[in-house]
Amino acid sequence: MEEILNVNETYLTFRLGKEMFAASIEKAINIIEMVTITEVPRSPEYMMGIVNVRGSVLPVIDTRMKFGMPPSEVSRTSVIVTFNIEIDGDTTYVGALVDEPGSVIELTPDQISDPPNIGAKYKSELVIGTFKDEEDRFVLLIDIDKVFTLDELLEIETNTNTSDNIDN
Amino acid sequence: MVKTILIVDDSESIREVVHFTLENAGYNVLVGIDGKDALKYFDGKTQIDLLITDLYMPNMDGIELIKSVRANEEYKRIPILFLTTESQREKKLEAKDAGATGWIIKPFVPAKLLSALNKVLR
Amino acid sequence: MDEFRKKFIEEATDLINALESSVLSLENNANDKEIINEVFRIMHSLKGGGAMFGFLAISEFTHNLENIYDEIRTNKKSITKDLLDITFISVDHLRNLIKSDADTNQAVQNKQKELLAKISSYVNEKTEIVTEENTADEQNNNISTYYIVFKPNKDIFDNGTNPLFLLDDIAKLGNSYPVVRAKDVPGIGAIDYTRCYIYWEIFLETSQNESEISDIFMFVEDDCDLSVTKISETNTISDLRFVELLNDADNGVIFEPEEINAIIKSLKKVVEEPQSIQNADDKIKKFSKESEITSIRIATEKIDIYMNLVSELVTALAGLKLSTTRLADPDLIEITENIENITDQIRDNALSITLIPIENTVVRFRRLVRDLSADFNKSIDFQTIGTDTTIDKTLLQIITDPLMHIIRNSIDHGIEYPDQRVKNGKSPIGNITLRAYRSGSNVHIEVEDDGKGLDVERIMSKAKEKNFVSQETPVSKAEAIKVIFHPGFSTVDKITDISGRGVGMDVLKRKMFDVRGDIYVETEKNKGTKITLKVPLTLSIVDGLLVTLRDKLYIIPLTSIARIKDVTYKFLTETSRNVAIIDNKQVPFYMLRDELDIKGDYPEEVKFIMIKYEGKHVGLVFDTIIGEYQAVLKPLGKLYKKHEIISGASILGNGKVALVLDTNKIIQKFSETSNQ
Repeated sequence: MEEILNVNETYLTFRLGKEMFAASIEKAINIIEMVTITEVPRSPEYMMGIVNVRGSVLPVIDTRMKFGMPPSEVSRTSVIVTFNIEIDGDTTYVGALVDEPGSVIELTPDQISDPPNIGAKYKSELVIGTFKDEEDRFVLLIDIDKVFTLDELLEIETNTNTSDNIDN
Repeated sequence: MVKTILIVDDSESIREVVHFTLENAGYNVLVGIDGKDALKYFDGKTQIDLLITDLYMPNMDGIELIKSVRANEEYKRIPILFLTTESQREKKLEAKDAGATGWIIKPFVPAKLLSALNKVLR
Repeated sequence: MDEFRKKFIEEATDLINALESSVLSLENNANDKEIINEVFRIMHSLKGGGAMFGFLAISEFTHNLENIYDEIRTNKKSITKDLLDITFISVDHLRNLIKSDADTNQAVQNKQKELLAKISSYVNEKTEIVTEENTADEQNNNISTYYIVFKPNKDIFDNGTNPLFLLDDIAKLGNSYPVVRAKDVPGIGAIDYTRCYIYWEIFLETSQNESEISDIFMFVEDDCDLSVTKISETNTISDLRFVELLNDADNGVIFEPEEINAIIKSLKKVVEEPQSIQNADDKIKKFSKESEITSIRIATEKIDIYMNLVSELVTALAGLKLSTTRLADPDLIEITENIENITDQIRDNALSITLIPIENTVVRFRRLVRDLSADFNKSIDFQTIGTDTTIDKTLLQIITDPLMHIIRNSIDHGIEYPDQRVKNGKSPIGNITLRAYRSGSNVHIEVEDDGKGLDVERIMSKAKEKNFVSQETPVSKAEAIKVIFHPGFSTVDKITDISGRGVGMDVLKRKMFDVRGDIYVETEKNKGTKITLKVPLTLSIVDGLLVTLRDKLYIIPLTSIARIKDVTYKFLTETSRNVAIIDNKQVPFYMLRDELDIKGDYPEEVKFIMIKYEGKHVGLVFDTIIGEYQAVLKPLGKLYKKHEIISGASILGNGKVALVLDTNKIIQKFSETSNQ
């Protein structure tokens, strides 16, 4: 028990809209400055397209849309975080557009609280726990793999924005 | 000083098993894919403490390789083991005549390989 | 060990293929010693490896087969057609034996029994399997004492033996008392340090039995005089009389045989003559040199990584070139040119690594021709030309089945029976030629036969019957031939075992299109048929046309483009139901800006690109054409896996990304939606 409690884990925090999230640093490969995203026609709306990262192709998702927020507006602070994701047992790289990168935080397990049970906005599989960051902001610690494997992240469908409204 | 063993076999799987076993046992391992290929190591500069060779190989077979090593001033006294199967008795004699020190019967488990090796290399 | 087993399976697969190939050539050169030796060597490798890695059925099987070829090798037997037939069946059987279910598959095991019985009937006398006597190794706890005389031959050092190692090993067996005998050592001046002048007498108390002792001398049996004598069933070294004797020995007293005998007699003794293996007089002929290409295996993932790094290098170079041009520094220009030159070479080399010669699958075709010509009672001469032409490994796998199908068709329907051929003024032996050659970035593979050719009239009547063509309009021969690629078309009324398994030419055509290739048929009545497969050299490089829609870049594979026409946007908007009349032909078309949801209007002048689709032309409308472009294809990744209309992306020299369109899928998809 003692041993488990003393293992510190490191997390990367990032901002989506007004909310702060964190994911294990082991899953984050690097952070890329905003570059031109090439749209891929006839794909889901949250799939923003692909970018050229040193000669390789990286798919980029609109993370805000995936979390049921209005589509991202690219700003000065926007970056793409490359995550190493497991899909069907295979590892693949995915870029997640976030509004602002946060910091790298080391936490002991006792600093992490259980996710709230009542009134939870996101599906329980997605959220590992919560903590307060150095600016005393409430941060949701998420399992980043689930962002890509779950079809719907929200507990109740509050948003119908994810498909079907292609405007010509 | 770490001993260097040269393993020559045209079968990659056998080479790898031997390579793996020997490296785990703390030897330095060189690999040749047939007799002709193995000759490149006998350049007078490379340390070779033991040669383990298959007999049937393309390009240059094991017997030819053994003869050629025995004719090489720099390496003529190194121990040489050859890989053979139970039924190849005649071939065994031919290899001995060519100058081999001993043999290892296929199939072998790592322990058998190491014990054969221990007979000729210390 | 599992990893090694996997390796062995790969290796065994290669060996079995090589075996098949060798046996095929043996058919025409039954007395070729080199080929026989090769066959023997392959079987030997399979046997050894099989036993090593737990494929005992393989090892048992090849052991028996090897015996036959050993007798052939040593001229005790000769090759017969029957034997070759059995060997071919054995090749197939070996392929089944390396499959994972071989141990549990009853059919495979029955086959094994059946074949082994056949094989054993071939071997005159049962080949004796020499086994090392390693039995009766019961540990004897009773200590006995042995007297060992070990006299190495003077030249024992010559074969790398160190006699001291042997003495060490003896010492490990128990309590030993070696006595060095140096009476034969010459004077200092006369010593040749490469000779061994000394010998040893060793007394050994041990609980091990005699075979353990002889085991130590296993390698040197022929290089020494060795006698191992059990002199007592007790631990005699502690015996007082013995201690005396040993002391004497150390003082240089040489044991006289009588003396030893006396001592031995006084103790219980068991004397056994050491065995010596007699020299075999007939030496096996050594193998002649072969010109086999040796190569190493590289995991495909490693190649993928390498290819990726190479394309990163190419992209990085493009950036370097831009900066070099801007800075205009002569030194930098020279360096950049140098790097560009090297990069080109690396790229070509990287590409060549993924390519393998077509020859690799030819043996399968040979085998097919051999088996089928026997089944059909047709004699066929199968020739190959240019099979050293290389092609992407994945592509080669993809086209192998279509080629097998084409060859089957040739044998079944193309080549006539010998009497028919003679009647038609042809040689009774039919010819099938497989010819491969490279043309630009494509590889062409032709299968040509000198059979009866396609029956164009019959094709036409069939096509009219099935309403594939209009009843009235006269059709050219070329158009008639195209009909055979129509889905659901088959002139074969009777389904034979060989062809007509429901896989028609339409399937082949689709398969070729899937890999951005094509298929052509040329035929002449009574002269023969030639079917040509055209495939790109590699799947990872696309020869394409770079086009735009607004500011977006797309690449269309050149192979799918039939024609390009400049038209006005107005002309297209005035058509009805998206069908344009181009050169008096109706061409359905799709406005890609609409279909791909790209906002904004087309320019006044647009590009009407006609795509080959199921024997017709379909137009795709783009804004402009930038030019031809050789694109390195990158997959879009797992998240886009379900995406069908885009086959990948390519990064241009300026770092921009262009999407490569799969035109077949696009038209298929768009026509589905418009039909709804």
